Amino acid sequence: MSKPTGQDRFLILLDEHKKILFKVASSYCRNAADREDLVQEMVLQIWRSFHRYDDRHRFSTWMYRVALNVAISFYRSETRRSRTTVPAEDSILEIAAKVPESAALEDDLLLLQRFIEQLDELDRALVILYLDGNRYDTIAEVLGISETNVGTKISRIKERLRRDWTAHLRKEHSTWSSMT
Amino acid sequence: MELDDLKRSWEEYDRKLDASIRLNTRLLHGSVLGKAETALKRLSRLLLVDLLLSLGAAVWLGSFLWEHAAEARFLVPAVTLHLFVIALVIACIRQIVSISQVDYGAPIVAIQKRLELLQVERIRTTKWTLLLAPLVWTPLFIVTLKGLFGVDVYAAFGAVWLAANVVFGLLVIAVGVWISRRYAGRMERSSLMQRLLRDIAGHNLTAATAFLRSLSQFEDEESRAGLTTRCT
Repeated sequence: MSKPTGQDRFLILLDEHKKILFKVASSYCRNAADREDLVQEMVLQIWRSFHRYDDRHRFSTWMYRVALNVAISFYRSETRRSRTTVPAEDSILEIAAKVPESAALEDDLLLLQRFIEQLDELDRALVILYLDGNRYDTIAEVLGISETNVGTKISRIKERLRRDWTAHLRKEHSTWSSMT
Repeated sequence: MELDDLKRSWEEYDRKLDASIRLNTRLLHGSVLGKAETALKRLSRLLLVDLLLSLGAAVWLGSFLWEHAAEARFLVPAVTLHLFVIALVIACIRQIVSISQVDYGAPIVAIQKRLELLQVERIRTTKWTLLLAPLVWTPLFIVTLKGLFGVDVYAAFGAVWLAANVVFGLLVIAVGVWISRRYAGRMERSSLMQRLLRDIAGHNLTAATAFLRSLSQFEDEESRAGLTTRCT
């Protein structure tokens, strides 16, 4: 049996962690064409940097770093709208027509998406890592800040969500009261 | 609503994604991994072309200087141009070196800082190249006509014409700055033009320095939080 090449190994690892690409791209781009461009840019950068990957560390941690670095740069780039490198009919990530979801889950995901969109590019990276169930030390390693700092920021973000949610409920209540 | 409630929904969604996402390995094998370039690689290639052109100009100007070292009227414009080109060469080399040191697998705060500093360097180079270009035009005209065609511009056009060109260059700079400040936000059809105008007007530099500031704050929040707690 022949030994897998570097590209084969890369594709196996990429396939195992493809959800990271999808979740990062969805969190940084609302527009579908931008999202496809971003996925392509992330895959290319992961591939170009693959020779630097040290397999004593978890691939997912390294992949988060590359994907989030590319996403933040892409998000900040003013020229992203003029770049279309993948033909529209072909995408790196093929997604089933619709992911089956319950109505409650759909509502929660919509709420979550709105909340993520309000965050700046750095807090957005932090929230994605947190929601994906990473431990504080992993988040700290990916972002390059201390664990205590991660804890402080997550508490602040939780507090902000709580405040926004209360304000949202108050607003809804006052709208409902004025209608009745 | 708590972040942890949303986290549970995210986890549920994550499980469902397993069944619905597929990697298009045919596309990856066929074209993406083989040919396509990353944004940074494209920038690096453009800088390399810039560097080669600037080095060619520097060599040609060097030989012109050698030939006209005794004639101040050709020496002064040639030295001015040479300094301009050398500054461009240095800026290109600095940017190419910075790009080669970018490792996307490094921690986010460190890499974003490096990329933004690179952006600051690019903005400054573009801004000063575009702003100084109208002033460089006169020495370029003198040196090119003499070096390539043997024409003495001082004799052919006169000193007054040349002085008028310098004054015109200064006017072009002033008008260029005014246009960039007025129209930087209105060139939505051309991203390149918008970027150049925003570079000259200083908007892009302001945005880059603001992001560098937010990166530092993001990094230092722990100490700031500690300081606030101590103060209150």
